Amino acid sequence: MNNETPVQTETTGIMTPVDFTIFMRNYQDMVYSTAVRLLGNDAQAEDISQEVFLKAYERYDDLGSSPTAGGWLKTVTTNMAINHLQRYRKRWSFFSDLVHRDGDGEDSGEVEFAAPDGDFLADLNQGDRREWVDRALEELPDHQRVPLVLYHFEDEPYDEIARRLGVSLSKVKTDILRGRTALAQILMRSGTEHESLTPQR
Amino acid sequence: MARLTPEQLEQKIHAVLREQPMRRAPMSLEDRVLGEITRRQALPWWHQSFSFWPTPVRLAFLVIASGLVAVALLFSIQLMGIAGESAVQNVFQPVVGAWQTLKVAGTAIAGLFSVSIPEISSIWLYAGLAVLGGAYAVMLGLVATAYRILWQHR
Repeated sequence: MNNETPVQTETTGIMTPVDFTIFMRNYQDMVYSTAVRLLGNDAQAEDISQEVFLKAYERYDDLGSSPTAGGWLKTVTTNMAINHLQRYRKRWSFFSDLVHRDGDGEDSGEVEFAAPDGDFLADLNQGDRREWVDRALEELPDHQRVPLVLYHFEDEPYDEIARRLGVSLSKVKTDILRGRTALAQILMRSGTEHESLTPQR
Repeated sequence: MARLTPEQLEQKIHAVLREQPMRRAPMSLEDRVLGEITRRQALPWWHQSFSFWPTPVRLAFLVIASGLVAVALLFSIQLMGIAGESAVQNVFQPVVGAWQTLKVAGTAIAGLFSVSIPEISSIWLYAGLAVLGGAYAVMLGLVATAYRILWQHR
């Protein structure tokens, strides 16, 4: 939740129920986090978050007092973010091509990479660590980041992710495995270069 | 070079990701959402989605749309020769009946008015209607022109 002084609706003359403003402040970080992790893009995540809250406003009579409002918002955000990627990003249509080109790993065997002895980014403070992980997620290609986020953040099982993305189960497993490997490599690289970390935002 | 099994990698990545705090939404988000709500509220009802139309208009729209669809369907059926003219007329019989009833009711109401109101020549009636129609058209034209000149280019 934002700690800064809330934006006053009176200054813009907006005729919105105060309840809805409070509702939005309660959930906006969750909605934005979900969107930005899936999309890997701040501006698009803000656009999707806006659309989600506009939908919520249309159904506010039901949602306002509903205990499942958070779940509804998360589901809508996830669906809208995935729809956005499928509709507007040409790369999505090349997913299957990518599988044929480099999809020889499946999920068996071991993954080789220069792993640190202890925890990833163990010697970074919490703020830098958050920044590096966010940035590492953004660096992943969509077809790895989206299933990875759905699996690790949203706790969705492999088969549900495959159904949602309209791809095969083996492809989801391969993409998630490759995503983890790529993420670990980015994080380790970040860990060794963290002296040069300069916040982008 | 260390080697991790997929299970070990999954556990490590899961731990790293799950300890991530939520991202803070930009402060501009609230203003954007509230601004868009206001903009949409300011739109006339016919520019808004169907759910925001007034209930009588929604009902009328549904009735008219259903009627048009039925007419188009029946016309197509007749054109394709699936059903004969008499069959189509039979289907329309209730509609024609309802129309006749409305016509009779209208004539009766008009008769009541003609009794209570002094007789007005039909020429004056048509002239009055023409003046009203003309005034409406002029007003519409003036408003449209004013909108284009004064508002649209702001």
